[in-house]
Amino acid sequence: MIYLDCAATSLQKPRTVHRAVQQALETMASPGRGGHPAAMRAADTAYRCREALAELFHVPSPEQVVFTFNATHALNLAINDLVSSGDKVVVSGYEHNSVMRPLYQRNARVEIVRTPLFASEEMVRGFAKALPGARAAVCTAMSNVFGYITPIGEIAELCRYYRVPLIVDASQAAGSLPMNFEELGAAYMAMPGHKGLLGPQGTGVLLCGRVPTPLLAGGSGSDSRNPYMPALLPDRLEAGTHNIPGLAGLLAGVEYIRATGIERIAAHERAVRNGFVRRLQTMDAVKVFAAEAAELQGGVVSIQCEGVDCEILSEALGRAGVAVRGGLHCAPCAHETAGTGELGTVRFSFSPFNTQQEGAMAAELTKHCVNNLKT
Amino acid sequence: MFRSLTYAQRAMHVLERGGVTVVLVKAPQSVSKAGCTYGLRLRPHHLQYSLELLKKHNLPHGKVYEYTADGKPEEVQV
Repeated sequence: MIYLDCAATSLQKPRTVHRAVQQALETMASPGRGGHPAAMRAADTAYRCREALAELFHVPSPEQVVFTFNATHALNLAINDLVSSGDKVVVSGYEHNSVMRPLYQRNARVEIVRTPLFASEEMVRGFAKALPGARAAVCTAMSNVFGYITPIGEIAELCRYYRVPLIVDASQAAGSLPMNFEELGAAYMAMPGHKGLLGPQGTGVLLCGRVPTPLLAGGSGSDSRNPYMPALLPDRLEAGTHNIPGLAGLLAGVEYIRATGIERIAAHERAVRNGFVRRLQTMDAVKVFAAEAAELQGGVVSIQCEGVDCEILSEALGRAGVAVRGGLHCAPCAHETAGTGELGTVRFSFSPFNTQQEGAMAAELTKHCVNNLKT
Repeated sequence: MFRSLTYAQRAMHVLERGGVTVVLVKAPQSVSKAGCTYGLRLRPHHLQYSLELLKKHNLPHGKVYEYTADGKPEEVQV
């Protein structure tokens, strides 16, 4: 199988991740509970994971790295802290439901900055116009549908200027693009552990630029006589037992990324994507949503095929041995902005483990499937 | 003593990098007023240097205790 659904989850992981999970299952208990060796091993692993993430994302201290169940949980934490009913919140036109739904659930007044795909200057201008008077802003660093790398640096600068706290959704960007949390000056940055960071499912991270209101309350392994969640991070946001096998795997994934080099990973994913796109663009019936400037797009690309349903094409590709995702990708907002809302797209998302040959083969199989479906 | 495990761990790393051998322990219940506290155990002659290192790294710490001959923790004024 050629796995090209890393935007959903990275199926291929380094072997060190597998071994770390296995070892944790066999030797680690729960951190912050007992004082015995198995608990301390777990505590050490959790701390080293925080430290590694803090270094990767340039976070001043490891306490600002909070573990969550996934990026959705992390985004809900951030939005819960910043947004109340009726608050104006500015978002880009490429946000995922994990941003939009919590905002609507909290009855926020959402102002969507809708700009054409890859039109970064327009997006910056749109944010500049919308930000005054906003309670918060949320922006994805990379679209999960189109791989569009947004001008998050300029948007963060605008947010600092207008004193609007920014939540960065780094779900697609984390592990694939260099990101500097301190430089961005964001209030929060959310990401899953199981996509570009190459960790297991059931892990997520929230980088905190401020101390937030807890979403969950329960045991934190500290300050136990306090009837409320502790005041300090990370304990304040980490109620309940950690997913230690998950965090052990996440640590191994992050260590792999640091050893490989994030710029090298970004360049590789871009190269595989470029090869795939060039081959596919030769087919007139297929519309490929590719940026002219390579630096505007990460390792994710969507296509539409004239007269062919995206889900039927995705299914055909699956049978042909290419794993992709069709439909709206839990991001109807992104599709509405890009004009693909009615038909959806087929999305191909690459990982550090996809090869140029796989990209080329996937393009040829796509053309083959399209030809079959159109006859 | 530290208010959270993570702070205790960060302090441990700072002190170890500074050449101080420490052991991360759960604090005895008798001194764990807030409940479920962590501490770093070290040799008495490293105390002053360790406190300076923690201050330099903006790492807040709680009370300091010395173990008496009969193994009970006694608060030390620093």
